[in-house]
Amino acid sequence: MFDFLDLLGLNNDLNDELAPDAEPMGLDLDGDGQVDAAVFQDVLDTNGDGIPDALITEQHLDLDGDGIVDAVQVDVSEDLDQDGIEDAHTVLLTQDTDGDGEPDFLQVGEDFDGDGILDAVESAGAMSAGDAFDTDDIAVNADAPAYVNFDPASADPDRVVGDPVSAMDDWHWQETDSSCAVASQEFVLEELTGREFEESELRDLAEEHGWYDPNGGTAMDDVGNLLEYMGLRVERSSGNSIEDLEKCLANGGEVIVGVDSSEIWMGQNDEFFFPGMDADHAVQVIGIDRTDPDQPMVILNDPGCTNGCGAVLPMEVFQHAWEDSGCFMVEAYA
Amino acid sequence: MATFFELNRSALQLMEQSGALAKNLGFEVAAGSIQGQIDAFQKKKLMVVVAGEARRGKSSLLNALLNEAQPLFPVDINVCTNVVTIVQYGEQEKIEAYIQDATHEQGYRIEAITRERIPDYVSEQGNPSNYKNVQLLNAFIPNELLREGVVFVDTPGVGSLNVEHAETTYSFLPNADLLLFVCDADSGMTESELIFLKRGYRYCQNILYPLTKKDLNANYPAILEDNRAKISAALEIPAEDVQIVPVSSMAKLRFLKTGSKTMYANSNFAALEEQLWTTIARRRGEILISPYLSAVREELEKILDNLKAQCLLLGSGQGVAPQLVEELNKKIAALETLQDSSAGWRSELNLFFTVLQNDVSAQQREIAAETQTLVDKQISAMGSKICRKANYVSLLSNVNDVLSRGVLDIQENISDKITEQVRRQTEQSDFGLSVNQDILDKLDFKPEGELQVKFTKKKTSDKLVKKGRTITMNSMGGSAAGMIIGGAAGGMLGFYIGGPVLAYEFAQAGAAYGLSLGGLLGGTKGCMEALSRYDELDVGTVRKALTQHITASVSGMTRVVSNTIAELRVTMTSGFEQQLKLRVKELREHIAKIQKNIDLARNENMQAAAKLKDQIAQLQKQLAQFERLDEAVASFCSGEKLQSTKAEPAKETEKGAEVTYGFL
Amino acid sequence: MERVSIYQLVSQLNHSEQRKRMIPQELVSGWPCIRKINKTLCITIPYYNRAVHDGRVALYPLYCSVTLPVGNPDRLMDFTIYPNQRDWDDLDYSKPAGYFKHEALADVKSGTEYQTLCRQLYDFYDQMVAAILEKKPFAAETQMIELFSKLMEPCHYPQYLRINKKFYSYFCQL
Repeated sequence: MFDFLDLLGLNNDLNDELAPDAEPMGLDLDGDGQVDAAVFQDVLDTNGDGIPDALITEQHLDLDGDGIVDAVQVDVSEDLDQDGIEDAHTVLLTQDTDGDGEPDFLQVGEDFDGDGILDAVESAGAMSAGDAFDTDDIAVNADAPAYVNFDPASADPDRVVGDPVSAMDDWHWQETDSSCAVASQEFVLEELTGREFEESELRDLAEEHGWYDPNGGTAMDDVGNLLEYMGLRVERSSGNSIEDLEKCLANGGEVIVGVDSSEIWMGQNDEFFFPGMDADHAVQVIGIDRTDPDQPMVILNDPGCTNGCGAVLPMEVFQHAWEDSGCFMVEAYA
Repeated sequence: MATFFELNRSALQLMEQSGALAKNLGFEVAAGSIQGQIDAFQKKKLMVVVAGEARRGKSSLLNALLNEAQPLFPVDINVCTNVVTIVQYGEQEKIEAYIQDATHEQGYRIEAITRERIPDYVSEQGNPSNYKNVQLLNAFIPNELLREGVVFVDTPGVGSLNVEHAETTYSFLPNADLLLFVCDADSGMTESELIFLKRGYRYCQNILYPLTKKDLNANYPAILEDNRAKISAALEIPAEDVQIVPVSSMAKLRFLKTGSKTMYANSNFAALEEQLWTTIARRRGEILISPYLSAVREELEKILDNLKAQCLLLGSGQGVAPQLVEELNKKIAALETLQDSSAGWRSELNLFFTVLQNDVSAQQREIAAETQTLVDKQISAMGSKICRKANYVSLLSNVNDVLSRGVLDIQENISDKITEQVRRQTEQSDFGLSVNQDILDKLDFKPEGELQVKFTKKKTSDKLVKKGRTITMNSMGGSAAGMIIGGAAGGMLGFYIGGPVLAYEFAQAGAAYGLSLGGLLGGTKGCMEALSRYDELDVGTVRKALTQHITASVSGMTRVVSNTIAELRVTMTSGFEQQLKLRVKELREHIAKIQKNIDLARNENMQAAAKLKDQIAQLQKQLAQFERLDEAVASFCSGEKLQSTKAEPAKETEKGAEVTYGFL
Repeated sequence: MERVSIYQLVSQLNHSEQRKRMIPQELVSGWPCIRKINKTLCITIPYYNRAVHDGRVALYPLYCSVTLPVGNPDRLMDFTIYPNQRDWDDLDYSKPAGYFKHEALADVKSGTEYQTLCRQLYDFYDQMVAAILEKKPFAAETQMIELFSKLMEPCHYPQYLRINKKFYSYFCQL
């Protein structure tokens, strides 16, 4: 039987199997004239019956364009009953994020039941995502480098305002690059009504009402309209303070704010920067953690990056990013 | 002017490079198409028509413009041109007179003559009333100015006494890219000149007004301004837009003989030449460079698509390629079915032409009725006064006006309907091609960047249709007019289906055909002659003469139109078939290339991929050059200065003078 | 007119009520252009979306632009949303137009450095506007061209040209 461990590179035999037959192809995926992927493909006979039943695709990617491979993604697609439909899929992503030549990030995703949805994803290394969650996509790296995620175990529950753990359940990665406000409102809706919503349905609804343009996004003034539509009581205001946020959370409300995405995603990393001026990204504030009174933290559900579930930011950083939107917030109550 | 020639040469070079590149990459069909575009591009000519009242100095002007030491056009005090003369570039000098001759198959014969004998054919003195029945003079001279493809047309004088001359000149105007309307500084413009101008303006709006003989009248500025006001009023355009340039052809010709710089300065030809060539250049760029560049570029883009598809297939391997090939084969099968003799489109096309013919016949009957009514009305209104020459000539002119407008309408009708039919047909046969995205998706292969594999439909056709020449046909234009006009409908057609290449071929066919038109011109002349033979006219005779003229013109028109439609029926059918065959050949070529890659052994993949990448890079570089050249042509045509790569900062200007900014 | 700071003008617009109402909050403003509408000197500011994909910054096509008089930025002269325009319906807004940073910025290693360059370009804008208002020649033209050409993102360039060919083709020689 095929050993799962083989995929983790812990079993060297796998590499040997791939080496002799598979020849890499250099491809320029984004048309910039530089080869940025080498792809190997091979088939495997996992159950030893002489008929190949798994397709292995190994991609060596040069994500930062410096000519050195910094990520290897191996996809194994199994069709054990030979009916032409994939039965199981496994993905292994190894990454060298700090460029020192040693892999330091590992992410494994598995789809056991062949429904196309990864049922388990585990990561180890420099960046951690949350625990097992469902996602329709094969693990993609859209992490915000500055994020650390909330660990309830290390916080003093009496010193945490809001209910971050519950809120984190509602988080998911926004489905399109223009729907952060819709996703944030979805989190709030789910938290306050206890019902499940589909982001796509909410996007459609917002688009019909003219609150959302799939090509552009949501105007700040329209954030909260979905909530009102669903019957929640909504208050919008600018010039707020952290205290105002705390008050809302303490009163059982949910709150969405606008923050400058460049500031919160990159944090201290000066090497990664963006063009353009003044963006306001909608995120849900789900808690204030004053466990360490000298280092108060703000906990967010940020739909904009894969590790945005319960993302924790130093209050100063948050404050600064929030000020760029004029400390705008949308409070919602059931 | 220099910049334009550069652009021209750059365009030619770029197209030739593209053809070579296509050939190197192994795309024979594309290389062939590109070569066709190049040929047509080189053959294209720009037409400048010189018109004006008799004795205003048109011929002298032309001689002066062409810098010919030995004058081409006969100029003498008593001489007045009565035949159209066309002047274009030829390596060797060759002058041909087209003479009407019923004994010849085409209705005319060609006589080669020498420069000295030209007056014997085209002037009132050597060929009074054109009894020799010269239809047109075609002169090829090795003149540098004409080398870039400009054709000059010298026309007989227009004016109230020259009805038939006017008609001949009118017939050229729709195809003229530029009109030089000549007046002289001796006397101001007359009413009949303005009438001619008004009618001419409908056909051609690019007009320059050389004012000749400025050396004979010191007071010429007054005449110039007077003319300007008159023209502005008659054409209803702002006075500033009327471009009048005072010149002295004599001075220029003397300069050509003696080299005297003073003479040249006095002649003021520099100003005229500047205007002339700049205007010509712009029109050329617009009409003659851009469409060809677009067509060649499209061929390259098709190749690029194919190469990208091949690349993609190399990467994905199993399953996709055979499916793609299957799709392409299906497309070929569909196109081959269309070629079948029983294909539905053939009967549809036949039906179309039958309906069109009926339609057009009805239009013709209407025109005949309208003109007849006009004659009847005018005669009842004027009574016996119609017998005065001035009056019946004026009536004849009006009749001709109605007839020519009617013909224009018919021609527009035909061209509209044909364009629509061609569009419908091309859509139905679906020359475009796209690959099913699902096939590629199933493989779960999601590279970043472009995934679509599409062979682009011909989009340039739209641009070409807009920029192509409008069709006209003038029943009274006689021979030379028909030359380009007869083929114009076909030309329009060719543009649409196959780009400028086919257009040229169709035009050629129409040209030979059109030359046999003749005769209609005789209609007006015959009418005039008949009437002037009488010492004393009566109303009945006038009416009879005019009615006969109408009948003759309309039946001549009918004949021409029917023949044109019949010819179009044939050319459209064969043109379409030709396109089908070409598409099939192209698709087979694409399949062959893809097939080749499927069969490659695994370890050749890497090399193949590298080679493809290289080819793609070459193509992209070439396409980038197109982008740049297109920009240069476009900005040149719109009169903007070409952007220099190194911008120079604006210099400090005089106090009070306006500062301009290149970006504002 | 007093000395105009284009950076301030853009910044103020980005934080104004108008923007909160009209323009999706996720969008960032791009490089403005200056043009004259009749006798009014105006500035057009384009907006676009950006996202992070696999450690790279994805740039979406230019989405909309606002045109205001330089001397009276509270007034709107034009507001156009490009995906809704016929002439722009060949662009696919569901995919990025390209990625940042582009080749010309290969030597710019830090955000701070990049911000400095951007501010410098805005300074050039100021000098340009001042020159126009004072009817003097624009002395720093060549330098502005150099810097602008460096900062202009190639994937956005064709769209910028559609907005104002004269201005952008003059200053950005890619």
